Amino acid sequence: MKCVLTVAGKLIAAVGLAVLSWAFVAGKIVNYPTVRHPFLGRIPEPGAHFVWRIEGNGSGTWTSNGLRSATFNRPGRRLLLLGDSFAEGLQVKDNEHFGQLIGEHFAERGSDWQTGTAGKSGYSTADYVAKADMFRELYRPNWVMIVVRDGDFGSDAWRKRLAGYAHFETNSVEKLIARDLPYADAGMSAWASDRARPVLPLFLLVANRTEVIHGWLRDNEQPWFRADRDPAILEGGEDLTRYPVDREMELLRGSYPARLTLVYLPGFDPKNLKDRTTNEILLEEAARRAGIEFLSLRGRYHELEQAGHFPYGFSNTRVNEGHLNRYGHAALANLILRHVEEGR
Amino acid sequence: MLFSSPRFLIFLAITLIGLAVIGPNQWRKRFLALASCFFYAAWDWRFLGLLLLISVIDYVAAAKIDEGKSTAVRRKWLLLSIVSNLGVLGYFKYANFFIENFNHFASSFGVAVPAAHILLPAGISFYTFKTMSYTIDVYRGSLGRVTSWIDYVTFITFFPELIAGPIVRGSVFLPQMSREIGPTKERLATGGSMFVLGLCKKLLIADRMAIVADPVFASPELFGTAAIWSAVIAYTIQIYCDFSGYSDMAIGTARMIGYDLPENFRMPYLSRDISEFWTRWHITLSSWLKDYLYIPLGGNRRGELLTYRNLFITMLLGGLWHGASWNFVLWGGLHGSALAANKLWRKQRGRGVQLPSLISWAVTLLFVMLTWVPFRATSTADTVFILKSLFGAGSGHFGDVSVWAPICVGICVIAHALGIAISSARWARGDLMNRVLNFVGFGIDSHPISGQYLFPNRISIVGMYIACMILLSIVFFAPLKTNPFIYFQF
Repeated sequence: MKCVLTVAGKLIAAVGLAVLSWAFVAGKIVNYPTVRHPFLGRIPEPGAHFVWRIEGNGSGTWTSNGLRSATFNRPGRRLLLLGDSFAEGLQVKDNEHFGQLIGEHFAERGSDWQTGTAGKSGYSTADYVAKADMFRELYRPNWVMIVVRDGDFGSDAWRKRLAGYAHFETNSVEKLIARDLPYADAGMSAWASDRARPVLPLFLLVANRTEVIHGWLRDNEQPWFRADRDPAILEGGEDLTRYPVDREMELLRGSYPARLTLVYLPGFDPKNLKDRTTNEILLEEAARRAGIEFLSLRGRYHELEQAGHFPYGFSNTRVNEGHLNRYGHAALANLILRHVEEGR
Repeated sequence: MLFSSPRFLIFLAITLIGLAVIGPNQWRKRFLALASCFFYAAWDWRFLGLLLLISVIDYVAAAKIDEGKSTAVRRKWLLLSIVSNLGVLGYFKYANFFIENFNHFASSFGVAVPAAHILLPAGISFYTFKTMSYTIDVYRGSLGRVTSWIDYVTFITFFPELIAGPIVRGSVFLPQMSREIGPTKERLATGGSMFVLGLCKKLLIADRMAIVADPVFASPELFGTAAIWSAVIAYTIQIYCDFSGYSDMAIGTARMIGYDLPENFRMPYLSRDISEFWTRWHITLSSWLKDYLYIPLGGNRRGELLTYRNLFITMLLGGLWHGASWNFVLWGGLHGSALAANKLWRKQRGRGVQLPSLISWAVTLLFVMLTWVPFRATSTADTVFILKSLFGAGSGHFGDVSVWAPICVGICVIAHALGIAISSARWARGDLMNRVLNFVGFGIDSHPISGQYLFPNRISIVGMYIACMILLSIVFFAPLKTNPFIYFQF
């Protein structure tokens, strides 16, 4: 019995030391303190320094009301940049983020345009519709640009059932609506963010890896683990012909009386830069029918190819996969600036 | 079932529990054989029958060879065994390769043979070599034939090495059949340590290096010189950690069960010449080729020129064994040429011509790295392009270099330095390394079959802490995209 207790004691001590060691390591990899916003739910804590090295080498600060790279602090016209994790850009530093690059450009030229990025990981078109009133009231934009990808009009907008996020559905009279699920301030990350800051990085790392392991178990089809796998995605990517994209566009148009532009992020294939995908063509035509401007980052791909840079992927992850890197953000900023300055 | 998958860990746990609870050793061996058949059938149940058919042919052939009174009869049965093994291997692995090449030449005459839809059975290259070595050894008289069908089936189907080696010979495995198998504290400790070490090599290093190498080898024309060098270095590390990691997991699994498998790698990247490299890399394959191909061809007993010829042919066929592609033949041919050149060089060295060890090590490593290019590249054209790009003559310009390449190089350098230190500690008791290992709770020992290994010899907080850190590293850092072991494709 004494032997068992000795071994158990040693094991507890060893595990405890290992957890403390990893808490220290985690702090170097990820730190994302948050606070509860009355309308937006969990947002990055204003003024706090975040670190994100799980993918890329991101760092920076958020200003108030969940805006990154915001200069909404003087009279003038406001350009609001919405989007999901691609717009949020945790993977890059503040001075590499497309919103800040645009804002700095305007400031240098003495323009009265100001920018603010309100991208949040997990948002889709359903969120931009459901939360439009809130965004308009909080930010009072003159121009709204939304960074979108295929999933924003497909599976992300229709299949997500997470607290704090919206999804599309048709109601009893077959009308398309965006239903916003109430935000629930729960979970270990929220608890740690409010009460246990020193272990917040470890909780964030665990949460991130839990998602990765969940995806790996799902993809490996373990016999005891069956996850809900979207057949649309399984068959090789989103097929937007399965979704009522025109009705989604109409809803979106109706939600933003201000000027509205969609900025589309296509995949980057250096061997085939020019050919647009079916989804891209479908989205552009649907946007045009709904009276929404449509830009595509594909317009900058030739320059990226010439410079030998992939817009996606990082040196600590996979090349040409994942989120926009600093080259991608720079290209996105250039695309938007050119569009703004050409006055189209 | 990949060794690094949760499914395999559950299968292994069930197998070990079964072996622990079943009483008589004969029934444990039956259970093990059944478990091995289940393991193989999980890959593709259709080829379990093929594996068992080959086993029956060689069992009967060995029995007939043993009973045979005349050399002619014995040779006939040996020929049957070799022809059926090579025939099966040739059909499943090389039929389409030959058809493709035939069509390439015959197309100008308007002749074309349709390609056959043939699936490659998992592990066929490994188990045919294993069963052939059994019948050949019985024929040579260096091994007595197995009279127990259960012992034979356990040997043939033994799951830890069935799919990707080490290539275990009957002379190594069959004498262990009288042993009581089943997990014990000591076996679980030593075997488990090796298994975890192999898992780290695979998940933390090999799969991480695959992230660097795969995009470049998939589209080399896009990438500049720096990115291509990064990918070649990454692949050099990947293939070593992948294959040696798998071998460690196989040896560790076998140890937990109660059998010992032969060592397959001995820090090959420390080799100072190519001959030494082939005594340290995929040791079971190189020794198989030496004993069953090189020596029967004449070895070095028929003069200098024939020795070089025999080396070249052996390595050429050794390359072809890896896969049905001219790239593998090229790889084998390059190594065969290098071995022949090294033999010539050693003769000169005997006459006083020397190279400093550091330079000969660097030249050897560079040669091995460059020959991994045809081994990994997807076509001959890509091989040529990558080799040209390495020396600045390529046309690609995407240049992003992964941060993981230098990190994993650093890890490998440190691991090799530790390996050298531990190896020397084995023979120098009481020195600093031994004291450090003892403090951490590990000992080192040398096994006549499996070679040197680390094992936990006492329960210490430091040892447990290290184990927790390793396991948490796997949980937090492993890329976790499904990457099968490289040698599973052979």
